[in-house]
Amino acid sequence: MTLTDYLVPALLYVGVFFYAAGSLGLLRFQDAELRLHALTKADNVGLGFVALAAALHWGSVAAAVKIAAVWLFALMAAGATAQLMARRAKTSAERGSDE
Amino acid sequence: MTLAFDMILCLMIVGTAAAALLMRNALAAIVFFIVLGNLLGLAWLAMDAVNVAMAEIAIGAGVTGVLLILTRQRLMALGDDLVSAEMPGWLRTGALVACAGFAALIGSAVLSVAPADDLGGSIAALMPGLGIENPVTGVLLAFRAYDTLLEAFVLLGALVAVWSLAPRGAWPQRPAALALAENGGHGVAAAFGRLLLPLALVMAAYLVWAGSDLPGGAFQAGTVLAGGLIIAAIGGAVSWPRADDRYLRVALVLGPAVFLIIGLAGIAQGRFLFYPPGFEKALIVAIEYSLALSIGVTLALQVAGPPVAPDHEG
Amino acid sequence: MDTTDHFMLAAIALLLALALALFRAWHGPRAIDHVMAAQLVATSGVGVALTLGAARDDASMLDAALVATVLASVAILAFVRERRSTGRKPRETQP
Repeated sequence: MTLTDYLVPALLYVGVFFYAAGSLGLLRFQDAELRLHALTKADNVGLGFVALAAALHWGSVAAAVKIAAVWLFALMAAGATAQLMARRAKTSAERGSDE
Repeated sequence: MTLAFDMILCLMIVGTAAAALLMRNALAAIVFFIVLGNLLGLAWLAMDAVNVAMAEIAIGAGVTGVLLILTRQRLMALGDDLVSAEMPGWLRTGALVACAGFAALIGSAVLSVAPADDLGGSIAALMPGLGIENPVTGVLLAFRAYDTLLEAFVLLGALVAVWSLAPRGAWPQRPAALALAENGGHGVAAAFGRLLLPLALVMAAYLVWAGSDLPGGAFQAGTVLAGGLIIAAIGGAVSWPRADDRYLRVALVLGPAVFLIIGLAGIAQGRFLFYPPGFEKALIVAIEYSLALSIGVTLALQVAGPPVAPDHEG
Repeated sequence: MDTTDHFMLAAIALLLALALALFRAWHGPRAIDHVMAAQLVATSGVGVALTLGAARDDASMLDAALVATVLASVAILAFVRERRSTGRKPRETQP
């Protein structure tokens, strides 16, 4: 057993934990803004740890670059969409509509 | 453990499909449809059919989802309340019976294929002659190239159909702009669109190139390109061209035209769509790159909808 | 359990987390809640693709994950662009 053999599952389950936390938050939190906060944890941190575990498992530069691209891209998209969704939630709440 | 994964996924697919049908709220139904597309993509991944998985995630979940969301917005702008009409009982029962019969038909067709008929093996035996290694690309661009050629023209025909819905006086103007309202986070979307479009271009180019030997190909690449174009349009980073723009027309017909010309040139060698020995890979890659561009532009314009008169946009 | 089993187990766990998010997609109550659920499902799907790719030693699943990340954000942007002026019927055009 090398260090990676312990590290990969550990990182993987940390990632799964954040995904689960994101799902639970989306389910249990009171209003849209809080739920959005939970959602971004799964997007950013959960996927980040899973990606790290996968990259270590592959152990090749090409795969690591591709996985890094997936994560960086998801970060970028999550950042942009989360802000847009928050604005949308705010304006629709101000208008008092469900939309 | 693989069995547990497959079972859970199957249950979720059936449940999501039922939810998409049963939801009264149109947006919720659309969301369940998108989720269904994603789950089907995962199912194809679980069956090691990565080509199909990519296509399902990109087209089934991605572009179709966008199309449905924009359709809902359009209907709301038209004052539609988005409540489906009550259907008489006989129609519901009839639809159920028809769907069940259709599902049974497809099921029996699938089950009638013997598991050991070795279709994959007979294709693998033919692959070395093509100089590429992805058997799906081999089937799509060489062994069943007729189908793909027709699909390329069907897609173009669908855009012609969309365009023909343009009201009088709107032709040949631009489709309605997708851009966000100025006060609604315009800067964020614009920055995202400007960043994403070049990345989508690179990814599309990579997917076509990888498609010769690995999963990928013109349809997946074209859809990624369309996604990039739609995001850039929503961000206001690109605006739709007029429907009679010369470069636009070239981009739309490039793929089908290159495919058709190469196919016709094959007649000189003996038969339609024959690739001369030694040039198979070069011709296939040339067809795929031009197809990817045309598919991307066509899909994006189909999402954009027919041209509108400049004075009533939106 | 070797590493492959860990990845498979993680894929199952991610699938279950995804199933949880579906309750929010069902109940809403606001439009934005449905859309957030769709976003979480897409992100979980990317996670499943990464873990499945590692479990099967299939690098092409990474490409599928990449495609999924791009296309997931398109639907969200299409949703947030919605014009505020809903309920206005556009002028009829005379045929």
